[in-house]
Amino acid sequence: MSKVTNVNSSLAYEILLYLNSFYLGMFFVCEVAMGILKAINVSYPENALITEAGIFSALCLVEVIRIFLGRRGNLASKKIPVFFSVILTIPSAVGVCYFLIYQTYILRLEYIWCAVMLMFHALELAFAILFIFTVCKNQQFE
Amino acid sequence: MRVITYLGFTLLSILIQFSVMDYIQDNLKLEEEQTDINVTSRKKRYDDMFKSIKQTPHALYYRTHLNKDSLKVSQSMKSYSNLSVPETEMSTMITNSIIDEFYYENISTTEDAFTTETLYSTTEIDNVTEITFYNKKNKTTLQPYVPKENLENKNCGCDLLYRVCDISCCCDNDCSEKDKKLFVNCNDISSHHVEESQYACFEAHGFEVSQREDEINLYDNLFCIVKNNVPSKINLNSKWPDFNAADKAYKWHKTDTSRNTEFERKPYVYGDTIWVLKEGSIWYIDMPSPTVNNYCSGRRPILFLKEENIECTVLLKDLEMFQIFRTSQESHCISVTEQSLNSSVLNCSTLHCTNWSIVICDEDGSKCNYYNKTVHEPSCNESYCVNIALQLEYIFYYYDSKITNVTIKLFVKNVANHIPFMTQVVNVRFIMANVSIDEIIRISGNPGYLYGLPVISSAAESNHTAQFFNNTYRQKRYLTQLDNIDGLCVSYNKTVNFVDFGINKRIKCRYIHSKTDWLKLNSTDACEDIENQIKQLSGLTEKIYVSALGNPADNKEKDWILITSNIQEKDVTYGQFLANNSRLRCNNFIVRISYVFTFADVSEVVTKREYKIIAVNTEVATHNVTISAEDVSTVLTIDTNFVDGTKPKEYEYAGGPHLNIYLPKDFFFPFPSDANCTNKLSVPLMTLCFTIYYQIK
Repeated sequence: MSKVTNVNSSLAYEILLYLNSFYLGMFFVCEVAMGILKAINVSYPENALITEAGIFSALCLVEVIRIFLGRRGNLASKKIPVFFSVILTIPSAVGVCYFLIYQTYILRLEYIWCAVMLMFHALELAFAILFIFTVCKNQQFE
Repeated sequence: MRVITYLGFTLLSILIQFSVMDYIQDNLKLEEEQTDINVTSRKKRYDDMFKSIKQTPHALYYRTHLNKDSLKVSQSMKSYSNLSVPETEMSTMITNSIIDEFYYENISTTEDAFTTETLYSTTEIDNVTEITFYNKKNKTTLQPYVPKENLENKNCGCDLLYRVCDISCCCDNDCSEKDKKLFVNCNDISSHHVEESQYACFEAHGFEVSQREDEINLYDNLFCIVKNNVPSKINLNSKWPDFNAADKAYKWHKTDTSRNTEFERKPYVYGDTIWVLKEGSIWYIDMPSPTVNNYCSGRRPILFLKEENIECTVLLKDLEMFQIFRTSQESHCISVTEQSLNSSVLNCSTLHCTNWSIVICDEDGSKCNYYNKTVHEPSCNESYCVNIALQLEYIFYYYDSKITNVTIKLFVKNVANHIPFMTQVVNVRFIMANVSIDEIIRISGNPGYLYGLPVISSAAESNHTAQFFNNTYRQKRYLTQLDNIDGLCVSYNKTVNFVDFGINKRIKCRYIHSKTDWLKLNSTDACEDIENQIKQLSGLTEKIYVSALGNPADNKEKDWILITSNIQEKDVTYGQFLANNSRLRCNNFIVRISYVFTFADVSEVVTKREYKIIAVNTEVATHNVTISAEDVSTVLTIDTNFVDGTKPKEYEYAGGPHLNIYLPKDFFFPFPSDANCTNKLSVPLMTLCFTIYYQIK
């Protein structure tokens, strides 16, 4: 009657995603505030501000989807959503790297924020890959 | 994830953000508490502007029938009865955030000071304080004479006025200790102009530039810009944040107008309001300023030692010049003296009063005369108004702890009557010297050139440095070029169109040949005649030297670079008449003149740029042009290009690596025809293929 199931969810991965979701909220609010501060006080080259705002919006969107897929896959022990979460880590990390290195004005505080975000990405990537291996390894064939 | 939890955490993060903002706001409050002076309640306007110029039928009356309300003098004002001047406290000074200057004192230049290359005769040293200074130097170095440009000033990039104290330049030896105490901000312009990596930090009133990297504490400077990726073209702007733009924004800025609007009996310091005495009352003097848009809708006080350049749109009747006429007649600019500190009565006997000098100049400022009401009074007819000043300049002379002279230069021109709005420019300048602004020699960098400052030139045969510092040759100190005025070419020596270092520009103008007898000449001679006029107009026939450095004080003769030209190499000009002599065709005719300045950064310190001009070439380009006999004119193009000699002409990017890899012919054939090979290769290849296949499966 009862279906054989394996609990493969990674606790560490879940904790990381959980913390990252809150960190993303803070990152979003702080970056927006910092963007306003910079837009008021320093002059931007033509279209740079709009470009950065667009990249930031895309980054936030990708991050939300990534975290959502990661958590869903982890809790449901499904490798496909986690796999897509891993794939989405790439554009997300690229976006963070943009704000870390290539945005027009980089504040010291942003260095810290982006570095922490990248740390999350790296750890989540590692745990996500481990999780995928675990799921593949323990796959049950009925 | 629960939505409420997510929302809660987001709110928490906002809270954290606001706590950061509170920190900033606290800083703001600190300053606000110190400047707890209410300005707005003390503002009042006058409506009797034209009282003094009412006698003659005035242009503006013609237009407006003297709408008194529209011609306001918004002088401001706290008024004190002469007998009851309250004793004001010498209270807390306003603490402005100090921009740390970062010029580097290069110790190695000490040796330079001991070299005795005297470029000036001793009679040129006319300042008593300087003599004292040199005496000190002489005692220590045992040298009979050391010129003014000594070791400290060589590295003082903001010292751009010769023998005059530069405002806010704390390394300027021309400034006395007393002068330096007046400065709140010490700016080394050279550093700001050229510094690539800026360390701009968010302070109470915006991003403050110029903290040195090594002075930045990690935790105290989280709001510092540690890196900017602004393209180099607009780096200069980004280094100087537009504080005016920030002032128009909602917050995080400090309005300077809110301070020092209450008269205090103390000598002027940097940022103090400038006071005038009018009919026994003390008022502050202000100037128009844009508030919400480009219209001159607001006014703000003129602050001591704070130079301004305001450009705003205004109606003809609201021009600042009309207020100036009124102000200058009824008031005196005052300075607090020691006598007035102890006196209970404040009038011109106790205060130092200075009259206003109004000078009327033509549009480019080349010809100036003192204002004479009968000659210079503005007036209008049906179509245009004359003697209208759309540009004016306040020049305050400060010397010996008091304002010694206030000159207002009105640059007048004729203005069409039908123009509803016009742009007026108000400049405020301060000179800390006892000499006229026209006598002051400005250098273009110290020692290397600074971007945007005029290139120094000399038309003399020799002794260029001495001539530069000789005031009789002051008209030809800076390199000028042909200018476009109303579309027409104006001779290089009649314009003030300076060649500014580092600024590339192109001017196109029409040259009209004034000589009428050219038709009597043969075609080739006629073409040469016109061309020679163009050469003279653009200065190609003269020998002009350019100073290699922005400060020519230490220039030797070889540091004055002759402008070379390729004009001798150009093809011979020849002409031919066309269509019954109604047109003249000139072949190989000069149509473009381009000045190419090659410069290099010769500084030893990476962070400080010292641009030196290495070579100046004039290149002419020719073309075949057809000139009509009715309109003997041609279009000339004048290019000015500054080329960094240390950079390659064009960047060559490395190409991709060329991999010389060839696959064996039978790579895609696992079973070649050779039987021996088949036996040898087939087994491992088959094994590999099957392994991969099963792994994938």
